[in-house]
Amino acid sequence: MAYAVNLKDVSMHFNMSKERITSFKEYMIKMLKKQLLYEDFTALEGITFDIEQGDVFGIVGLNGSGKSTLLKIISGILKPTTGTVAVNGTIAPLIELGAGFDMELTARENIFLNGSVLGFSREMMQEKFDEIVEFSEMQEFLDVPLKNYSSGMVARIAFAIATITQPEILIVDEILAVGDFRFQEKCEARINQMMQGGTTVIIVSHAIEQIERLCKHCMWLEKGHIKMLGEAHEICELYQSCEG
Amino acid sequence: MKTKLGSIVRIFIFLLFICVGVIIGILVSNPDYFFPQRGYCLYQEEQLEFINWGKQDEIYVSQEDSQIILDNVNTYVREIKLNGEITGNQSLIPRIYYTENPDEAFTEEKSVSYTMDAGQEMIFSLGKTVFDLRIDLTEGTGASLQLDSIELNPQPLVQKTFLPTQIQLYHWANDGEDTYRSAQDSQIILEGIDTYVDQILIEGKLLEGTLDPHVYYTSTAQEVYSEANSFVPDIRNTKEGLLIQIGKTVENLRIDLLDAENASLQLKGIQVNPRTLEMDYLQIFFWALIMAAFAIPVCKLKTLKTRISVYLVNFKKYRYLLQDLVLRDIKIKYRRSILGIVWSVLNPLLMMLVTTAVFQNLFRFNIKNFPIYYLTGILIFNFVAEATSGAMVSVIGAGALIRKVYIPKYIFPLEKCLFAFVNMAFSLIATVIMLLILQVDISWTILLFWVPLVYALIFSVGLGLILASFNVFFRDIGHLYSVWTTAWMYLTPIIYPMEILNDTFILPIVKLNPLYFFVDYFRQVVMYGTLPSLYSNMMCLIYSMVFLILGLLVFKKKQDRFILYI
Repeated sequence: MAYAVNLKDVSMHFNMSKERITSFKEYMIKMLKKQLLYEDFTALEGITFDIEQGDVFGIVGLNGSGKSTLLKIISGILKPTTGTVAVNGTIAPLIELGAGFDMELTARENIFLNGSVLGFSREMMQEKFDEIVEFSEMQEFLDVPLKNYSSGMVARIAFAIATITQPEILIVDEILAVGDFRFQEKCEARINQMMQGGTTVIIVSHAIEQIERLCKHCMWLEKGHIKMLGEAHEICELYQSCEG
Repeated sequence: MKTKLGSIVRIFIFLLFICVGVIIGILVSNPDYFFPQRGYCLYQEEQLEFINWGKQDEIYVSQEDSQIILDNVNTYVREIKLNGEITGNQSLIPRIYYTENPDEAFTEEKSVSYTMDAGQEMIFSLGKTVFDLRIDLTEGTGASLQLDSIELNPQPLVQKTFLPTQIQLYHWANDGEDTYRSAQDSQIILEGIDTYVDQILIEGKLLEGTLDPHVYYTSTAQEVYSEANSFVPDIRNTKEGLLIQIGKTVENLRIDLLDAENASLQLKGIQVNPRTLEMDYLQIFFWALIMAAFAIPVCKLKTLKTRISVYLVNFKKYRYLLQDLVLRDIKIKYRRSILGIVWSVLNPLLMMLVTTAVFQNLFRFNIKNFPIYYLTGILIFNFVAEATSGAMVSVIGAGALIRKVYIPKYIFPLEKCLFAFVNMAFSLIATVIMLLILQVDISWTILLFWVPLVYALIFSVGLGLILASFNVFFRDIGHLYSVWTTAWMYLTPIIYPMEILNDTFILPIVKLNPLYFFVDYFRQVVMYGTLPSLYSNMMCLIYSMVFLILGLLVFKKKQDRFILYI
């Protein structure tokens, strides 16, 4: 079976030094006084797993367990401190309620911007334009700057653009949490459609029922370590019983 | 793999790079030594401009104010040779006027008088780098001249060495091995030179006293020294010895030292037309430093080829984004201004009017076409300043995008440089307008106007990448850089001619300035109509490629940590 995502021994460390040095003068002074502190914070440690192509993979865990950090590493936004990441295919990331939008621009302009960010030409986005608008149901608000949208509206547009472009790997990070039930239904239908097309989907959610319903495999992250890795319904049961 | 052998190889490569840097520094500070001006020029009769001459058959008859003009000489002229002869027995008394800059006018100060007799070969020594030449025939009405062509520098410079045994010393006391003490009427004689002598170098040192030389020369072996063929030369003290300017074709040379008793001279030999290598330590240090900066990452470089192909594929994928960003910036800049794009043309024109009004009188004699001189300089400077300043803040400005989705971050500084390039294209229109208004003579070389602009673009991208990286970590680089750009403008010859920097300490710094080369190249093709030399091209290319590669290396090294700071 071919792998869509392959992580080997990945760890992510951050420097949580209390004082952030932003000027050259400060840096030189602190360096000479030997006061350059390095306070280590380990967001992820020893992460090794694979995601098969076409799988729907869920990631669960408490807040602060490292889920978003892991997704950022997979989509190439962050480079891990150690370890290797191998990704096979184009990625459309929907991370933390955003998708690479410029809040000052209108929805129309952002559709084209996002398209080019994902590597598509204006003509291609022009063809898909109507589909996107239809899916997100945002016809009246196309020329309103995105900063005036509610988070639900932003989520709709983001999801519409990300899925229209038919990525090989779709990453969904808590974005479904802000949609109303009608939107959630639409999204799940779209995800199922993509699954049948062979797209790999990685979902992070706090709605355990959703994970159980959609995903085949699942991973439980706790404080930066993999607590469990396996079949979705097994892990979801255990996760709920622990938290219950 | 930090094996001991690996370290040795690394150190070797590092030293090798520094050596290359030193070599480049020497090459660059001695352009005439390594890239000699060919110098030889042939002007056929048709290419000469004859003013106020009568013509009988093939023979020119001089009148009042007869002149022969050689246009666009633009080289170092040692000798001028007129191929032809004076028919008839009236002699010509030529006076040669020269200019050293393309916009200069002929003046009395820059002219030399010669005497010429019928039957004599018409060769005149000049010894200056000139732009235009004019030969005036004063007091020679009615002389007939048959002229086929005029040759400049008909013979190459010949070097000769005289050992102490070949030098004749009169009235010198031998004080020791090669030290000599002068008395009254001491003389140094060199015989059998028989070539054009530009300078002579007395190898050695003046240990005591002063020398006040008076040079006597003969043009043929049979001639006797006379007061008529003598002069007081310019003498310069250099590391290798005493350099005496001669500037004449001679057979024998006698140097009289009058009123120089008891001077002690160490004499190891005398060189005629010495070739000297100047060590400009500032340039050498600069290039050694740059190459050392290169050596560090190269020592760690492994698979270059695969990485480059990955970058190219990446670039193709994101070219739409690049296009989009440039268009967006253009839209934002010109969105709500009434004049809009016109302002890009108007701004440089207005600045030029103000600057011309202030500075034109100051540099009246050095720069004839001040408006164009200023416009060409400020065009390139504004472009580089705008491109690099924009690039510097581009990565921070795109923080929102970078935090949410993977984008190759070099796109942002690159985009700002391209945007500045587009703006500069509009300002070019201002230069074209002025060229038309002032009716400046342009030549075909103006078709090369884009070459220095491309050099400047590559340079700006490199510098922009470096600045963008550092600005992410140290936000105050922005303040420092704006101070630097102000200083940079004064270190580039935009509002002043290069001549005023002669004999100042600023001159070598300006010569290190990459913008100086770009601006000079631009002026050469647009204003002066000359084809830039190999040296100019080499310097521009080296500067732009060096900064581009440095920028890519620095940016690539630091880019993974950007997201932690934006």
